[in-house]
Amino acid sequence: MKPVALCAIMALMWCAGCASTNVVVNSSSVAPVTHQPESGSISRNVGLLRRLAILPARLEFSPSNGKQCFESCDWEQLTLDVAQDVPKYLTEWRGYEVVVLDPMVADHASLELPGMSLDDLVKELATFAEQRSNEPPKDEIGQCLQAITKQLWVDGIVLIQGSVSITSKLETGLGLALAASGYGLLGALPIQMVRIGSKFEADIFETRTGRLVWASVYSSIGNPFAAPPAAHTLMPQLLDPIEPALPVTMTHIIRQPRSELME
Amino acid sequence: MVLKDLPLSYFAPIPLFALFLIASSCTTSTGARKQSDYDPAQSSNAEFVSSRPEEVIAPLTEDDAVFSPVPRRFLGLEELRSGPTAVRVRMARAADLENFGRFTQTEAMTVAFASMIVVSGAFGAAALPLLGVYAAWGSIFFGGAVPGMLAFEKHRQASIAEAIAKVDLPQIVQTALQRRLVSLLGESITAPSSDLDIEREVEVVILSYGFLWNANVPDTACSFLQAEIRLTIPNHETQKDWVYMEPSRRSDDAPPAYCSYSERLFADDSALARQALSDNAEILASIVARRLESSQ
Repeated sequence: MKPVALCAIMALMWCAGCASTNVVVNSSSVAPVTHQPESGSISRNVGLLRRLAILPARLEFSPSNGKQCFESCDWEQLTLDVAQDVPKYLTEWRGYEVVVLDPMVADHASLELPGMSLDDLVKELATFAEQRSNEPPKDEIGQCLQAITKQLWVDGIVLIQGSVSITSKLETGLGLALAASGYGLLGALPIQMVRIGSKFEADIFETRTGRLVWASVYSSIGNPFAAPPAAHTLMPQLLDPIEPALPVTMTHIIRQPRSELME
Repeated sequence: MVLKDLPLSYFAPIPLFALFLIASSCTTSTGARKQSDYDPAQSSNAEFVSSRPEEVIAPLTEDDAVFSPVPRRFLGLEELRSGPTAVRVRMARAADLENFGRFTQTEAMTVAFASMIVVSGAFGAAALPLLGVYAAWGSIFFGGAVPGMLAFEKHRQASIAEAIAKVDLPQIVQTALQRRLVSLLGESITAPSSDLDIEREVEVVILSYGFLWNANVPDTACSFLQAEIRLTIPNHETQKDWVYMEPSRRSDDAPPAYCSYSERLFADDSALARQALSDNAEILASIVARRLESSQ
């Protein structure tokens, strides 16, 4: 029985690191603000939101102290890479125009929000996105989105959130001790296979109504010995399903109203 | 010892060993074809794609070959309104599948590691004299498996090419361009006809289009399209301009080439790939119309 159990776990570990990307929200009624799409052009949904503002990413790491990872973890570098790779992917691969709000990025824009800070807005939007609702958000969030539209003149807002769990040195030590006891490892490995991994989500809200119009979820679990993910491979996995932006030659650009420019 | 006396379990790892050898060779050959080594004229991919062969256009001059992303301004556009203007779209060569490797890296590595695990265990369990038996069986299976896998890969490429050939890209560009130019230039726009002596013509020659394997990102393919705009107006020499929508270069007014993982791109009878080609055709028509409009 023991060899069979070990073979079963080895087979599971062979399949370990299974990753998948799923589009969980894809609204067909999307309204841009900064342009009027020409009639009879190519079909686009989220691609109509040509100009996007990218909020600071909301990431959680385990262990929180990178020095406790079994393999070296540089969470700050990963956060910076995500902040840089998301706008790069959206502009160079999908043709969107982006405005970055993350202070970690050199050319970030600044803005003033009514009633809450940018971090608070990120938390509120993350909570709202989890509901997967078709309805607009509550008034406080809606007012912030309107302020973003007026100040930055964008069609949509992008929020990246995620969590990464890596085996820590303590867990590795305990695992070796359990392995020495024979069957102990058989209990520990399945738990680690479920716990260790990455899960990232990209949410896009249209600024006209504040609704969540597109969401993609990338998850990679099952490998208890997984190394920390790299942003340059992670972001293409997460954002690949997004459709390209409507080309500018197929739009009639609407200039930002002078009254909003002067505010 | 007689071969027939040996239990079957001794021979089980041999096919996997053969697959391991194949996977190892495929892993090294995938992506080995560089775009610069690819000669469309000699490629066998073109035969998988049905096309309407057109005359080969004259090669670009040395000046033309210098890539410029900036659209040019056309001259004499007011002449287009003063008489019938023909709109013509034609194709220079068949659709291409460029730089397509064999198996994806994921497929090759999966087979390689599975084989390694089983074969290493088998070798540990078997006696050394059996190594000769394994080598004999391995060569038999190698000789049979390789042609089989090559045939599978050829069939897959043919399926992709056949699905993509369903998109009549020149016709889509023709229809979209005529629609746009009618709204821009009025009812003077006509379809090309050999009976009419057309002095004014907007011609779009599609130089190349298709998909190429993206060597920079594993298991991804990108669309590409390159076209020439030719404007014929009385009292002016034929004016030319180019539109590039490729991963390595693109015109300023063109969007990035569409790249995606091949699993998504060519799933469901290459639905996403066909959509990308159709979109490229519409985009090309909009770029041509916008350049003519902005030159006025």
